[in-house]
Amino acid sequence: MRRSPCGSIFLAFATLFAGTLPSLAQRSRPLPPRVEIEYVYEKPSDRWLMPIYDRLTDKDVFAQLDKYLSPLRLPRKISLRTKQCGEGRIKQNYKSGADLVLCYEYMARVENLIRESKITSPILREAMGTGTVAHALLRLVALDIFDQLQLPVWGRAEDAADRLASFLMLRLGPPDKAEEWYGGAGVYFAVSGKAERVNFTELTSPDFQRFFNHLCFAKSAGDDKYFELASAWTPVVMKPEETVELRKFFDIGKLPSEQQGPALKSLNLDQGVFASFFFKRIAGYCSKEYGEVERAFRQELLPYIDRSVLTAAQRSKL
Amino acid sequence: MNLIARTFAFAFCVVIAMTVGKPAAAQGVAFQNPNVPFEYRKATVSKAEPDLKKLEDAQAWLEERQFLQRFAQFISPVKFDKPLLLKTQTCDVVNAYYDYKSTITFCYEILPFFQSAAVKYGKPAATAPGDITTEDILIGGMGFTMLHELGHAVFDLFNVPLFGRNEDGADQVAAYVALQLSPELALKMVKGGAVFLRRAQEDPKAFVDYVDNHGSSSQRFANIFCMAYGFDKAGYAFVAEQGLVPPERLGNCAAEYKQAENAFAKTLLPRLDKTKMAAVRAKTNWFSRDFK
Repeated sequence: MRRSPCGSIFLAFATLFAGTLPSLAQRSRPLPPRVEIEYVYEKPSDRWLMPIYDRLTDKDVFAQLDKYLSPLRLPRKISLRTKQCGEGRIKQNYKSGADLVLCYEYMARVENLIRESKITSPILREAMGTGTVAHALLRLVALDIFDQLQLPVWGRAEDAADRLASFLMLRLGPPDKAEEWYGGAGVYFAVSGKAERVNFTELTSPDFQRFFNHLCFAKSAGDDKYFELASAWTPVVMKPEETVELRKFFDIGKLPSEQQGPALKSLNLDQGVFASFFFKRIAGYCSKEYGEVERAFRQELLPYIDRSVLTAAQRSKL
Repeated sequence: MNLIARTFAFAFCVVIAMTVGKPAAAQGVAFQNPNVPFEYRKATVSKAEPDLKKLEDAQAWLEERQFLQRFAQFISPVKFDKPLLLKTQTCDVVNAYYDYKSTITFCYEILPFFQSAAVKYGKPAATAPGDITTEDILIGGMGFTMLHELGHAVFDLFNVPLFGRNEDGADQVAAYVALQLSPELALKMVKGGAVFLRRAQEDPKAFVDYVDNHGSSSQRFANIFCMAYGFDKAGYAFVAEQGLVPPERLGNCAAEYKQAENAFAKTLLPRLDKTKMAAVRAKTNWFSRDFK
């Protein structure tokens, strides 16, 4: 039986934030009480979106997300809604105080692009669907966190939300799933970017640009799972010869640091992808970019996380 | 908006408009800034500009106008914990940059770029609100560039939390500060800052082009004008009228401006000396229009 790409997200959500281990050191000041997520699955008027609606309600995704976000202490409730956005829209812009909306059309687009992509691996297709939807939900929550806590956000808020969502997924996600989801979402951005009609003046960055931001974090996080998935996205968007070189580049990233320098010399760094800014960013700036978000998280958001409900794995990454 | 932020920001950008004006000695001691040393390095041959004479002229132009001293005075309210060096030099590229070692470098190659762009794209005088003049491009562009690099410097030196992309954040610092100026000067800075970025031909075309950690030229252009429109819809009505920002984004521009205002108040305002801010604010003759 074919599994829905969105299906396993629910199971995985259940493990992401939930935990019952003993608390860490007591906080210096009391946290606000936990506020549960309020959510609504709005029935779509178009029949073609009903299967997505049915899957969401069957699995009660938001109930799982509620557990997932349980360590977070915010001044107001988080209100989530799935709905048919209509008029060809796949997303609704964030609006302070309004519901966080995940459009059925977006989930349909994810599923369509996965179906149309030449990616055949069931594991990867699963990871693309689950990871992309998980990332989209965390991104909505990130925008609400910025607003509720009035955090200082420099840079475009939509990109900042992407970065925080990525960070939360990599650092607080379930150890057995997070890297796979993360890689899957990255592959989706590559696939989507290829199909996208770009307008640079819009609020949200193009998916190819989001892809590179995403890639940057993955490289910095150093996840082996990511390297496995790298071989999946490169053929989607790159020439075969570039794919070969890039694969070598990723493989070098897995070597001990003292071996990386000599190994890099074997690559043709004057051609293709390496002649672009790519190498400089991926090999140089990305760790700084990841470090920026980590520092922002520690400075601004960690005080609003109840460590007593983090799992041991999560605590080890914080 | 916050009066302190506005006051500081006014002073900030007036000094940025540093093309000319009174010598530093005449500015008094209120703007002394021993924590911001400066250095004009000798212009040398560049890969980006083979005509050495142009770079030597750029050096002379900047030195004559005390470009770095004025910027140092202008940022005297900023309480740096360690020195921030300002320097000009030949770089082999058209650029200005902060090096994450407490130094801002303004490359000689960028001055001919701005001068040429001013002549090529600017009008001698504005006849309509949206018109871009040579002065907008030269002063606005140079000023915006220095503010952008200062944004990187304060992010680094003050450990500012960065949830968003550093490069976009530095643009927001520049735009936010510019918008706190008198309406005329703010308009000049914003136009100059945005227009010099309006090089849509440089937007990514191929997949690998998207890798840049800067926004694309069109993105940065729209971000700056959107903030300006969000700050003052009437004053920047031309942004909507000329379609510089898509209609569907215009409704979000006020939120984009407020986001920068909140970030400025929380991360940078506590680092400012309010007495010095007032002194800088009180001085209104930083700015002159002597273009050569």
